[in-house]
Amino acid sequence: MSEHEPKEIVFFGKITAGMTHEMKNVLAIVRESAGLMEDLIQLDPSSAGSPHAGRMLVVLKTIDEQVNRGVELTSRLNRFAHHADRAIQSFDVNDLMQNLIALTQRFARLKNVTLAMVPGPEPIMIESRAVLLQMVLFVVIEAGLEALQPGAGIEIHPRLQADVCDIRLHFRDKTADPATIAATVLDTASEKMLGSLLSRLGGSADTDGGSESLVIHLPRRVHPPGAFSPDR
Amino acid sequence: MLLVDDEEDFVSALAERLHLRGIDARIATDGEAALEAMEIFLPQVVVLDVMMPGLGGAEVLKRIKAMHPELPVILLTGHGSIREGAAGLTHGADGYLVKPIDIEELIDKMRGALSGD
Repeated sequence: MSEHEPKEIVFFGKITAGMTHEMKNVLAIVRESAGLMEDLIQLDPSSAGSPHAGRMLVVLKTIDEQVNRGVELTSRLNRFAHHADRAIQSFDVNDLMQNLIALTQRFARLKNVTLAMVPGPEPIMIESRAVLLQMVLFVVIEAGLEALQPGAGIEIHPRLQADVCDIRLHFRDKTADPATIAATVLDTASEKMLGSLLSRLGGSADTDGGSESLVIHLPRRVHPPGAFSPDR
Repeated sequence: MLLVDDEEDFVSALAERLHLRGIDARIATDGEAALEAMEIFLPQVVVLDVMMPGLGGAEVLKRIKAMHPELPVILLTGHGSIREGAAGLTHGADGYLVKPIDIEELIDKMRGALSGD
């Protein structure tokens, strides 16, 4: 039995994916227009004596760099939007986490907290609810940003252990004990419905017996509601 | 070269940049116009946007290949249609580029397509 993504999610995904496509067209126009200006300065002999040629080339380089930045951001957003296409899908947790971290960097930057991921050595393929998993991670990251002081860091380590994917979050803050932070983050995230979100993923979260990390445990394969789960 | 894309600002700037590099590039801003233009002027290579309103890139590719099987066609895709770009290769396209493109990469692809690479 297939499970459908809630209509609201599908709606948001479709609109966002469509708009990122439009934004890429805009960036393509900006790139070509700026490129034409650069060409006219560099390739057209009549422009050689222009007094502002040097300055304009510097500005055009800035435009091109920002186009690259725009392309990166819209590509990330497009990937995020397309996760709403299907409720349950196969994906590489490394890729999913890297994309989510890129999309949430702004929140971390505003708090002056570094947010980084140490990917697993191999792809971590699971079959699960990509949108929901990203929401779970975002809830935990947000709780972490609330708990941490400026200058702190969050490091995310996804790993595969037999049939379980563990996503370990280390919180590094010189002003507090990491184990205490992990416990605080888990409590705060739990108040934000972490438990109910994780139950839909067949997963759980803990501080790994009081270690310095918060760990999210996920099965490699989530089952739609009502389906037989050999793990239960 | 014939450049086919519904974004006129993009394709006009690109054509002018190619002219500055000694490459004769004409433009069409929709599929029908592209096919009509090809009845008057047969380009050496066609650069074709995949996502266009009306007659889409896939259909234009099909019709070009039906009339001129040996004519190289390079597809332009956005990231959402990379699958369409790759699928286009199985329908006879000779390459694809993801927008926004790098003009030198386009020229390399064009030269490669013309030399049969």
